[in-house]
Amino acid sequence: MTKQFLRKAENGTIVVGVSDLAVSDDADATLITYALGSCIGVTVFDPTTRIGGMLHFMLPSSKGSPDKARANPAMFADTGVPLLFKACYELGAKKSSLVVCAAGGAEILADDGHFKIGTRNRTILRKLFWKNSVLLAADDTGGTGSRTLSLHLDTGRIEIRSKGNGRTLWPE
Amino acid sequence: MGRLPPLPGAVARVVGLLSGGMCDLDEVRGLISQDEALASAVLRVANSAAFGAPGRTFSLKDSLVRLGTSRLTQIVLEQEMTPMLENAGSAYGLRRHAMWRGAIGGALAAERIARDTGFADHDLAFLCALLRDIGKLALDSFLCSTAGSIPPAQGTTGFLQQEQSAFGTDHAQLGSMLASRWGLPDQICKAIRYHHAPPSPGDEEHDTLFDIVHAADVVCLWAGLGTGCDGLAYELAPHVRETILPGHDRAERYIGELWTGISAIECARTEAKGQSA
Repeated sequence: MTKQFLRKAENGTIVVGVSDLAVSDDADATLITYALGSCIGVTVFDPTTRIGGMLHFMLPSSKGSPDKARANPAMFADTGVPLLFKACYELGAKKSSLVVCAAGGAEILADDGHFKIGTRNRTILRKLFWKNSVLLAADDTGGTGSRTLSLHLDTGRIEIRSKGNGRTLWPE
Repeated sequence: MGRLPPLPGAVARVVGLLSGGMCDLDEVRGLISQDEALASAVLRVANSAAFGAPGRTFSLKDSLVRLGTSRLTQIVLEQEMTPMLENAGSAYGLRRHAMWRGAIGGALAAERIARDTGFADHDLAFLCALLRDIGKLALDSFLCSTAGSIPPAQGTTGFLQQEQSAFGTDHAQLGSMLASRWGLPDQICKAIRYHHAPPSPGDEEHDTLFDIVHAADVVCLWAGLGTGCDGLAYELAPHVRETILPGHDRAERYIGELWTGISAIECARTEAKGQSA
């Protein structure tokens, strides 16, 4: 499975697209995903091995779309998140040392609770983590801003860029 | 307005002819045949399996008849807009291709929503959604030439309000003016004008087309297509929420389908580039 998601860096960067998942053990590489709207980006990093991965999922549940989930499991939280962890474990990452972060899950203005696409994405992610005893080291979710998320595999540093401003999400 | 990007003369002439009702087919053929890329795009679509016409045609005139004015306008503008959109958007904090993805994504979503809602002219919905953010193109072009920037969305203030405060206009209003300057039909200009705030039923300006384009735009926001410093700081019109996007199931279906559609188009483009290299 790892081979499918193991991505080589181009000019030091691995771009993770929408509904996409990538893992790497190249300590010089940076994983980056752009334009997180209601979608959520999840990063996993093992500081001991400097193995890391990133998922950019769009929707919370694959239940209503089994065909789409088969074609691209990274589209959904319930199929993409387990795959991200499995791919990192197969590459040599250890669950006990993983640093897990998340960003995205924005909403349109005045949603009034009708859709809450971003909130539903955040809720299912927390449920998955709770069920599997995974703690979020840091997250930047909600609001109305579009975000860019990057994971630098040399140190595990996570950076967020939104509304023209950048900041380090982890380590805090 | 003098700084707004022009539509190349031949394309403007073709669009003007096609949107004028009775058009001279020979004149349209003459104009299209001067543009090799456009002529090959017309032949390719006319012969595509998706178009479903029996037998192949190598004649440009036969292709034009086969396609009809609405589909032809769509092809001409899509062909012309692509290079304009590819590199634009930096003033909005968009990367290369992002504005193109937002435009094509909206167009695909609008076409799908039009089919689901029984709106007859799918091609018109596609075209209006494709062009809905040309006002951003105009502001981007102006700001890049003056080294200006657009203030990012803040708090609960809608992004259109921020554009109004900063520039005295917003990209929807500006886009509508640009479309009118390009000679596009009034209905397209209005669809661009109202793509963030369509008039509600009962208003004499209400048009289902505007609701469809608005819904397609919101689906793109959710999917993160074409969103930059404006983020998701726009509202969904309540009447569109009740009629076109009644619940998260349908909204999520459109978001998923949008990804599938965009991926297919990007694969086709990559293959085409590989073949021409």
